[in-house]
Amino acid sequence: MPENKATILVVDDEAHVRKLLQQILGDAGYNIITASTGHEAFEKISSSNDIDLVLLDIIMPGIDGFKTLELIRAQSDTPVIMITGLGEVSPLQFSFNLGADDYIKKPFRAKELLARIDAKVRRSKD
Amino acid sequence: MGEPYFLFYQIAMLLSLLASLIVIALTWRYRKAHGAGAMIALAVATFVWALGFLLEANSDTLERQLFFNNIGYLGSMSVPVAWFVFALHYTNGNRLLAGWKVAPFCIIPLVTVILVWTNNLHHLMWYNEHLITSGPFTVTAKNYGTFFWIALVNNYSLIVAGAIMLVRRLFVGAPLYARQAVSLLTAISLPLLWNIIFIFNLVPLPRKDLTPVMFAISGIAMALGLIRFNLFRAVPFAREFLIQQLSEGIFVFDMRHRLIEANPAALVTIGADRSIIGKNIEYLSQFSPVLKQLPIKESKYTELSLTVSGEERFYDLATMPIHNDHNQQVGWLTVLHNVTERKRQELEYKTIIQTTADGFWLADMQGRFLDVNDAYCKLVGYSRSELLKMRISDIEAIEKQDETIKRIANIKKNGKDRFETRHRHKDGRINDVEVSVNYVEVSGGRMFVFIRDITEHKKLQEQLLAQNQLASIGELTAGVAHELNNPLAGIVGFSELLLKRDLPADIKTDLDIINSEAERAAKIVDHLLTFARRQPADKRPTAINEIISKTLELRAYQQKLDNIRTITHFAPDLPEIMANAFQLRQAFLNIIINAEFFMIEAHGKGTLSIRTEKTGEFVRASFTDDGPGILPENMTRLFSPFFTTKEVGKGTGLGLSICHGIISEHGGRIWAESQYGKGATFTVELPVIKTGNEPGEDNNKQR
Repeated sequence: MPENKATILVVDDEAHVRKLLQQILGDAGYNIITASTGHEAFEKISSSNDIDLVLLDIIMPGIDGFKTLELIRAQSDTPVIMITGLGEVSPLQFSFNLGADDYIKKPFRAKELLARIDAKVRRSKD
Repeated sequence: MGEPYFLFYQIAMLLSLLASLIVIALTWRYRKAHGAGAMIALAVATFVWALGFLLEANSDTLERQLFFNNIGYLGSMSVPVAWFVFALHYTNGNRLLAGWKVAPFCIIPLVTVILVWTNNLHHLMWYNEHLITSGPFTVTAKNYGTFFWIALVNNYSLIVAGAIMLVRRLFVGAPLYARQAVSLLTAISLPLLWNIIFIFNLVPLPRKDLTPVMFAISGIAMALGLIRFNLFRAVPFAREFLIQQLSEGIFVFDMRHRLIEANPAALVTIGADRSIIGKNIEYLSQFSPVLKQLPIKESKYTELSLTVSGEERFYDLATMPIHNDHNQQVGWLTVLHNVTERKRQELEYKTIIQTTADGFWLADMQGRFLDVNDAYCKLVGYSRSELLKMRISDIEAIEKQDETIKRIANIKKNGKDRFETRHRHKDGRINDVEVSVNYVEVSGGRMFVFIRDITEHKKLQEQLLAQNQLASIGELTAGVAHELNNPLAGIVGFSELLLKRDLPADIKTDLDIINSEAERAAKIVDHLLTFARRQPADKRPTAINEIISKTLELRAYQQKLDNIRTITHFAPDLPEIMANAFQLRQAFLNIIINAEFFMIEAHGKGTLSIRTEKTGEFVRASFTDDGPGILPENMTRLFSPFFTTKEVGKGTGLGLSICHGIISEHGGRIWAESQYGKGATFTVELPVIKTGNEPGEDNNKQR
C-alpha cells in the first residue's frame, strides 16, 4: 500500500516503541519522522509543512504529551493521536479538551492502529 | 524623838526623787510611744516638785526656803497639765484636743509661776510669810493670796478631769488596760489627797507637808505600772491607732456581751455611730442584721452578704476570744473583713472557666483536681464531685503514672507545657485532647490547665491518611501498570510484525504463543488498572475557592505551630467546576503539606500564597511557596510514583503522584515551576463546567 504517501510524526521517548511504530507504519506505506521529546516534535512540526498526522505519547520526560499537544495546537491543526500506557480514560478526555483527535492505548494491535490512522489521514485529506 | 521623823522625811523625799528618775528612765525607752512624752513630762515635773520640797526642808533661812518653794512650784504647776495631757493620750481623747489646743490649759499654771517669782511685788500668791518651828522642822508659814486659790482650783480641775477620763476608760473601755489605769490613778491620787489634807489642815500632824512622801509612793506605783503591766510595751495607743485605721471592721465585746469598742470601719458597715458602744448585743441586734449574726459563744468563721449603700457586699466574719496575760478570757473580738472584691474576682474566674468551650482544670502538683469546669465534665462524662476526688492518672489514657509525674516536674521547671494526649471517658471511650498547662507558684504549686477535645480533628486526619494510603496503592498499581504497558507494546507489536513474515511453521506457532501471552499480560494489566482506578468519583458542581478554604482550615492549627503564613488571593465569582470535593481537597492538601515540609526544612517558617483565577475554559489555582525550590533535574519526575527528595521515611513519593492522578481524573492538569533556591509554584487547572457538551450547541452560543 505504498500509495498512501502521507507523512506521520511519531513522538515517543522509548526507542523500541518508535522502532515498532516506524516498522508497522512504514510497512503500511507511510513516511515516518520520529522525535524522542516534546521539544523535538514541536521543532519538527514548526519547520515542516509535510506532516499529516502526529502520534504522540503522553508520559514523557521534559514537556509531556499534553504540553506538546498544547504547543502544537497553538499553531497547527494537524491531526494528533495520543498514545498512552495509562489505562484511564480521563487523561484522554483531557487531551480532547486540548484538541487531540483520537487516542490509542498501549499495547496496541497493528490492525487497530492502522485503522485509526487511516481514518484520520483520509478525513484530513478530504 | 524628832530626829527619826526628820530622817524618815528625808529618806522619803530621796526615794521619791529616785522613783521619778526610774520612771523617766523606764519611759525613755518608749519615748516614741503614744503618750510617753506626757508621761516623761509628768515624771520630770514630779521630780522638780519633790526636789524643791527636799531643798526647802533642808534650808534654815526664810529666803532660801522661799526660793526652793518657788522652784517646787515649777514642778507642782506642771504636774496637772502633764497628767491631763497624758490622760488625753491614753484614752485617745487627743483626737478632740490635739497639739496647740492644749495651750489654754497652760495659761493659769504659767501665770502662777510668774506670780510666784514676783510675789513680793503684789502678794497675790501669799503674804505674811515667816519661819515657825513645827516638830523637828523649821518651816515657812504663810497666808495664801487670791491667785493661789485660782491656781489650786485649776490644778484640781485638770487632775480630776484626767482621772475621770481614765475611770471611764476603766468601765466602758477595753478592760484589758484596766490595771494599767488603776496603777496610774493610784499614782496620781495619793499626792493629791495628801495635798488636800495638808492645805486644809484636815489631820493634825506636824506642820510639814508630807506630799513628797506620797510622791515617793506614787512614783513607785508608776514605776510598777510600767514594769509590771507593760504600760507602754502593750502599746494600747498604737493598737488603738491601728484599729481606728484598719479597713476591717472590728467589734469588741466584753464577757457580758456588751459592745465595748467598734472601729470606724465597723460602724460604717453596719451604718451606726459611736452611740451604740456600751450597749448590749441583744439590744443592738434589733437594729443591725450583722450584729444579729454575730456569734459570741464560740470561735467561728462565717460569710455573709450585706447591702451597704445600695450595693451588695460580701464579708468574712471571724469571731474569737480575747485573753489577758493570765490566759483568762476577757471578751470577744469580731472582725468583719470585706471580701467583695475577692468575690467579684472569683465570680469572674468562674465565669471565664465556665464560658470557655475548652475543658478546664485547676490541679495541684500531686495531680489532684481542685476545680474543673462543666465543659470538662461533659468531655469525660464524670460529674464535678466525682472528678474532684480523682487524679490526673485516673483519666490519662496514654501516659503511665510515672510519666505523668515526670511531666508535672517538667511543667514546674518550665512554667508551662502544651502537648497532645488522650483522656479516658467514664464509659471507656478515649478522647484525643490537646492540653495546655500553665504553672503558678502558689500554695505549693498549681497547674491551670485547658483541655481541648481534638477527637474529631484527629479522626478527620486519620481518615485523610487512610484515604491517602488507599490512593497510594491505587497510584502504585497504576504506575506499575503503565510501566508494564510500554514493554508489552513492544512484545505484542514486534511478535505481530514477525508473524507476518515468511517463517517456518514451528517458529510461527511459538511466536503466536509469545504474542497471545503478551496479550494476556496486557489484559491482566488492564484489569489491574480497572481495579486500581479510584471509584468513579461522585462529582458535583463545586466552587474551588471553598475547597481550598476548607483545606486550609485543616492545616490552620499545624501551620500556626510551624510558623507558616498563608496568603490567599481568591478571584471572586469563579465559575464552578465539576469535581469530587473530597478528592480535590486531598489533592490540595498534598500540595500544601509538601510546600510546608520544604519551607520548614529550609528555614523553619514560610509563606504560602494561593491564587485562584479563570484562564479561558479553565479555573486555575496556583500554590507558591518560598521554600528551597526544585532542582531542574527533578522537575520531570516530580509527579512520578515513588519519586521523593525527602529523607527516607519522611515521604512515600506518592503524594504528588496522587495529586496528579486526581487532577487528571478531573480532566485537569497539574504542573510545577521553580527557580532553584527561590521557591516553587504548583499550578492546577480544572475545566469549567460547560453548559452543553455538543460542539454545535457551543458554536451556536458563540454566534
